[in-house]
Amino acid sequence: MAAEVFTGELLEQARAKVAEYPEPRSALLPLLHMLQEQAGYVTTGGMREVAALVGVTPAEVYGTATFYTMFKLEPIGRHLVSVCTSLSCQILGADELYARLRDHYGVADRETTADGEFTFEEVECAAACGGAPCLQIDYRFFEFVKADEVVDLVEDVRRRGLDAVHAERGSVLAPLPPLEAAEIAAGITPEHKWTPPAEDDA
Amino acid sequence: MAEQVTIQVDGQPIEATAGELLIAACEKGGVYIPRFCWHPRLRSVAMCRMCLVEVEGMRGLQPACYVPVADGMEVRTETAAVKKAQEGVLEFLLINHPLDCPVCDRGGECPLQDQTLAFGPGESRFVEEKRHFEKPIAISDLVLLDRERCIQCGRCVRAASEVAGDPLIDFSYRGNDTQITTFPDEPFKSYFSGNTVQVCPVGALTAAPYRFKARPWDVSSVETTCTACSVGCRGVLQQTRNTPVRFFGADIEATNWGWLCDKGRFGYEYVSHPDRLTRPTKGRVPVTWAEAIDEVADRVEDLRAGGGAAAAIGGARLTNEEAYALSKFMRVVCSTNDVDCQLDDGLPGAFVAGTQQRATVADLAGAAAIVLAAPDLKEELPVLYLRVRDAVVGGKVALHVAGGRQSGLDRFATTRVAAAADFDAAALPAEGDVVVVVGRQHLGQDTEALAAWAQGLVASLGGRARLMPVLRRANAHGALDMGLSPELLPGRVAVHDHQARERLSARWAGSFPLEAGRDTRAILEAAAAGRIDILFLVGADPLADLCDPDLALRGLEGARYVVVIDLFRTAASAHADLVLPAAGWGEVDGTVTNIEGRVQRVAANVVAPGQAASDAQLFREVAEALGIEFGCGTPQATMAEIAEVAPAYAGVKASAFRGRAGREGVLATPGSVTWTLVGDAQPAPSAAPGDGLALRVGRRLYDRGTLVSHCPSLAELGPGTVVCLHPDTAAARGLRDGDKVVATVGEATFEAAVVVDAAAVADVAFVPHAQGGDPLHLDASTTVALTKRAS
Amino acid sequence: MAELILTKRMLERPHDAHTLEGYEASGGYLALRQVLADMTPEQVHAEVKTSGLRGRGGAGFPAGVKWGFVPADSFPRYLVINGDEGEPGTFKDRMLMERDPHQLVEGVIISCFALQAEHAFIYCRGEMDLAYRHLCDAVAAAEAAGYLGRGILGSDFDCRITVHRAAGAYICGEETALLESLEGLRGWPRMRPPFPAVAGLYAKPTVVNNVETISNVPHIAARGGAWYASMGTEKSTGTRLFCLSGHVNRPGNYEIELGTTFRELFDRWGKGIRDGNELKAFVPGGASAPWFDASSVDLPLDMDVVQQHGSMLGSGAVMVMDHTTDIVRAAWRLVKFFAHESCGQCTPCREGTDWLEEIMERLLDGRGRPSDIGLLIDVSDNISPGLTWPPAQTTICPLGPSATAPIASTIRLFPGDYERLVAGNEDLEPAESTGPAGPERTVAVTIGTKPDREAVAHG
Ligand SMILES: Cc1cc2nc3c(=O)[nH]c(=O)nc-3n(C[C@H](O)[C@H](O)[C@H](O)COP(=O)(O)O)c2cc1C
Ligand code: SF4
Ligand code: SF4
Ligand code: SF4
Ligand code: FES
Repeated sequence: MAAEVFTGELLEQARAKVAEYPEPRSALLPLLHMLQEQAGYVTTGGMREVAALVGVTPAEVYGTATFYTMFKLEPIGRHLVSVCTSLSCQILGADELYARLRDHYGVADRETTADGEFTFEEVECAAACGGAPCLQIDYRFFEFVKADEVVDLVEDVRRRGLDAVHAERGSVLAPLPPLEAAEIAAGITPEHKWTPPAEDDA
Repeated sequence: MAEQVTIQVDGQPIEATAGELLIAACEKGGVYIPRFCWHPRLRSVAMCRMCLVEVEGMRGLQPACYVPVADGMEVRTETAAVKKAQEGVLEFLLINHPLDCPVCDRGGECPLQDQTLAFGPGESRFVEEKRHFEKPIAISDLVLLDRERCIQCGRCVRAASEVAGDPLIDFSYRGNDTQITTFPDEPFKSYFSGNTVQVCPVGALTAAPYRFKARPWDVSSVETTCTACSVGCRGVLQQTRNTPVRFFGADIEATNWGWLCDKGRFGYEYVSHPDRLTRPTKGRVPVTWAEAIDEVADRVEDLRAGGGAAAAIGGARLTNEEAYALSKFMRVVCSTNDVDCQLDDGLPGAFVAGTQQRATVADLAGAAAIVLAAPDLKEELPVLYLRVRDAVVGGKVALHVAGGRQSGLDRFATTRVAAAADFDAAALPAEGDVVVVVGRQHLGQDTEALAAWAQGLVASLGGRARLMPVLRRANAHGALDMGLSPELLPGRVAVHDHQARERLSARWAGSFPLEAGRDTRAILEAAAAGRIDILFLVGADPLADLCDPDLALRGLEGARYVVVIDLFRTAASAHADLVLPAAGWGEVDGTVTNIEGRVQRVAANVVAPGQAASDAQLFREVAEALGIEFGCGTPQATMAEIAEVAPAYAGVKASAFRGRAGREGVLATPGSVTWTLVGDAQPAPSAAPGDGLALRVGRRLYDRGTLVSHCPSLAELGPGTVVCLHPDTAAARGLRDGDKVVATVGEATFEAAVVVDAAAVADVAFVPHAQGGDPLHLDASTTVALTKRAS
Repeated sequence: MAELILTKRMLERPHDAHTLEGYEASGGYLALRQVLADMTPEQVHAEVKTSGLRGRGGAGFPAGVKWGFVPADSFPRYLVINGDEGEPGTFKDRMLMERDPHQLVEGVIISCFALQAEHAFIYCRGEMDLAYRHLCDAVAAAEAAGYLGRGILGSDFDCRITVHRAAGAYICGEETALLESLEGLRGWPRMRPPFPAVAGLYAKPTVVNNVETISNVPHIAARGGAWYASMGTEKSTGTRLFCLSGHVNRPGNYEIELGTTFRELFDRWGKGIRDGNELKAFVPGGASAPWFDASSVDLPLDMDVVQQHGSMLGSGAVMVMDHTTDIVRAAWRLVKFFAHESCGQCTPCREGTDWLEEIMERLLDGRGRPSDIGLLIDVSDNISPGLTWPPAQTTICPLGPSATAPIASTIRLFPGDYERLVAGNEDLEPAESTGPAGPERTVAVTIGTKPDREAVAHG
């Protein structure tokens, strides 16, 4: 079996990654990321190569790879649209948001549009609850997404490319604490601190 | 010695060893705590949560399979909280379980079933849909997996990875989708796959050979010893309607810890194979047993009268009692020492039998170091491989590999040298016991040199060395101990040992030479020269197994009269004048002796087909037909006689095998024979001369030998005719994996497929023995030339 | 006078706080210089102890005490930073990693110095692409500037940091699952003992700390433990990042001194409940925390007090729900989260969380049966016996019991919301049911007698 994914420079990078860790097996996740970036998904042949690089069996690589939701064992679309429907997003309309997308594109969860452009998935909390409802396209954040605008957002990505759309409509860095200048200047000392009630009512 | 402590379990005191797991301590003390994931021979993982108990001073419920006992610990196993948790876990396990017990191989012997009688489907509070998976999928040639029945206890995964070192099955996915899988389309190819079936607490893993063969309540079982190799694993042989249907490991501390290899586990299939020999034949013509006896008796009588010569090759398949009968027959009736249970493919007999500081398997784990100058144990002595692996994994015991192919143990080795002679004893730790495992590393190897080297190493280490000489064949060790060697008499004594001869004369009414007899090669040379009048081949086929096929053929053709006693037709039986059907494993009672010199019982559980009978019966009946008082009427009587005449076996009595302790067998004691190298050892040439490659032929677990090829489940598992090459060696010759080549060895040529194997030794071609091709003429300097064939 | 500690820089220089230039220009790496020039590892450790800094990953264990568990003579040792933030409602660590990665890196280096560890790992949640890149850039820049590597700033202290990208599994936030994951394995929590401080990564002593926890360390090292301890309450010192989300007008991360009340958090920082609605319920500390209703709004943000009231501040995620919220649906969503994130290792969680999710789904679909409410409680009880706080567990790790928190607390606080869903569905009860399923249900099971067949199974 000749290596097909990890050759040339990528092989060098992979070896360097392995060398970064006290034990080679630790490089398993990083190498699977490399594989997925290179091949689009975690391929069977690629997993064999990873196994050889870190010194475990393919079965062990598979056991690990399938544990993590980011690793896709089947090909996916050019863009991965991950809609958070976890609690904070849910109570602010994420289900509606996701339904709009599925209806518009006629796909079910974890399916890809016929043109191979987008794969949609429902995900657990994306760590952007302050901007709920939110979604990620190729792991770039878009926050405060409105149901009425979500299809347009995705189509915009198709039209103009992710970089342009994200720069304009996405959150480029995590949002700052939304404090006003006056609040910052005033310091954050709480006005009233809690004092335990007199009698134990717990 | 670990400290003894007392714990209180449900108010009752239980004695335990400090640090031992609570679940084990309770069980020994008579309190059974239910469990699924815990297995006494596997690492504790506390995953199933079935064994939760209350421990005073510890918050919440504790898994008894994970908590070590400490003095004064107070444990409650029957409180309401414990019951509730256990019921909860059972219910959780059942909600997705198909409850198809009536069609499950485990039905009737299933811990899950046993523990959940009350959870019939009608009472389930689970009204949602159960998890669905494709019904059993074959994860290997031998094992099927039904993921719906799996309770995710992980025993199989641990048995495969921790015990066998074959992490080829693993959990995949997570949460409620968690399942056991192999890598996609890559089978669970392990010599120990059957162990996973055995440890599976439900019917999720089933063995293809056993599937639907029987229900647990209509089998009858005996505990016996595996003889597929000489490790001496203990197991339970089950039969139904006189057909063996299953063999599973028994947990014996001394030897196999409950494990078996797949060859041992599934190797019972040949016993009931329709090709078994069922009646004596003369040429192609069937004769009665009585006619056959008469015929042999006549021949032997002529020989006794006229000073002719008899010889016997083989006997390693026999029980000790049968081997003793053969040994006695050849000496007493045929007056010869021309007997040899090896086919020039083991170690010098006196070297093995004369071992003084002999290692036990248990010594491996307690040693400071193990020196391995042996064949790939995984291929030849699989469960010994497991025990060595267990000892060296994690660096508890240092491993030094001295020669031989690379094996799964190499990764644990502290040092590795290409040949035993290169081993530097300075690499050994300064203190602690050293176990030297020595065995023929490839066919054609000069084992005199190897034995001399091992002897020298042991001598140089003094009292801290233990030697484990290993022979592969079933009861080869027992056969040597019974004197099936030209230079040995029963009891590990030399043929010229006067004391021994004295002792024997009480029972052996006949005389035999004082000098050593001929070994297999010499017997065949003599036969070829027309000097052997009767040649007995007892479960041996020189045409298949001797590294000199030409000599084997000349020998068989030259012998005046050839008697073959075997289970199946063999290449040699075509040259036989008389072929007798033998009863074999599972059909005869007796004892066998393993690599440690441990004598263990084998037990009959089925009746041999047709007129097949114990080999001992033939020799006794021939002797009696000649009016010679022979004895050996029953295995028990023979055992008693052996104990009387063979000092090393003095302790081997029927009583020694009774009770729990008797399951471990008895170690025979050292004999008095000594072995020394005569002449100079021939150092093996390390580099291949000319443009050929050095040829190494060695055993693989699965071959096309007589027994394996009559086990349908195993017959196809061998590699076939292949040549294994190191990647560099292959590349240098422009060969790639899967290429077809014509290999030329001397006059012989054969076709083979190239296997590129990183574990192969550079510049050496490794060819597995007996994979369907013709046997090759081999010696230490044999080379092979490979020519690629256009595909 | 309290102040902003962790978020100060990013608020002051939002555009370059994440770069080495921006960081150095605002006093970055001065603490490290000071530590290497003037302090011993023991002194740094002592300051952290004095500071009272408690872990910000959920359990709130004092960092200085945890560091003290590392066996004295055991090397190598590792520091592992938990940046796997994935608990619904939490989004503070992402902000710290994206916006001020050097603050974390400096904290790591100083902590390594105190711990005498020479190799640290930052386990960064896989989906946080930008955080990962900023961390990698920060580590590379710090190396180039001599803050990492051999003989840091002329001292004899060596340290390196490996940024490790995870791949999507909430359970890997649990510290032992994280270590398994870092070793290239499935993220299965380990049984304890041994504890990571004794045998963690590669079975070597390992300290696992949260991103926010360690981001505080440069400040403590520079300004002293006593300074830090002067903020907050006696047992909850310093400031904390609270992740406020849900039905408030101004969600976001707020760095607040502990001791503030929830009401103030919602009103002053969150600018009130949206649309002038009424508060119905809130989750006080991440998805694993039992919920509160509006009556608890005057409790303080104090770990111990919230604990006494049957919940926790946990990871600092406060999720607010107004009176329009479908409580059962909201609770189901968290149960679904836990079922999805269960690692599958132990039976009660693997099977139980999924079962709970399915029962709740049935309730929401209108197919719920009156007995289902008791069943939810009893199944929960089989995962977390007694449904006590802090939770007991039949499981290996706290994830399984976490799934019962939203159920048990909402059934207790809002029984009517559940009863409404099953009202009129008596006919869906199975005919043979012997009454409502509940904790008092008894089942005859042959537990405790050794099944003979086990001998076979055990061979
Ligand atoms: C299910 C589960 C998930 C957790 N997830 C996180 C997490 O995402 N981030 C985190 O810092 N700690 C998480 N923790 C807590 C960690 O186990 C650990 O206590 C923490 O990282 C220690 O750091 P600290 O002492 O600085 O808080 C989680 C714990 C559990 C049981
Ligand atoms: S297949 Fe059997 S042994 Fe393996 S995890 Fe499932 S139940 Fe356990
Ligand atoms: S190792 Fe040998 S004795 Fe043991 S099961 Fe295998 S063949 Fe039988
Ligand atoms: S409680 Fe859940 S997440 Fe934790 S170990 Fe068990 S199955 Fe895994
Ligand atoms: S037997 Fe103890 S948890 Fe499984």
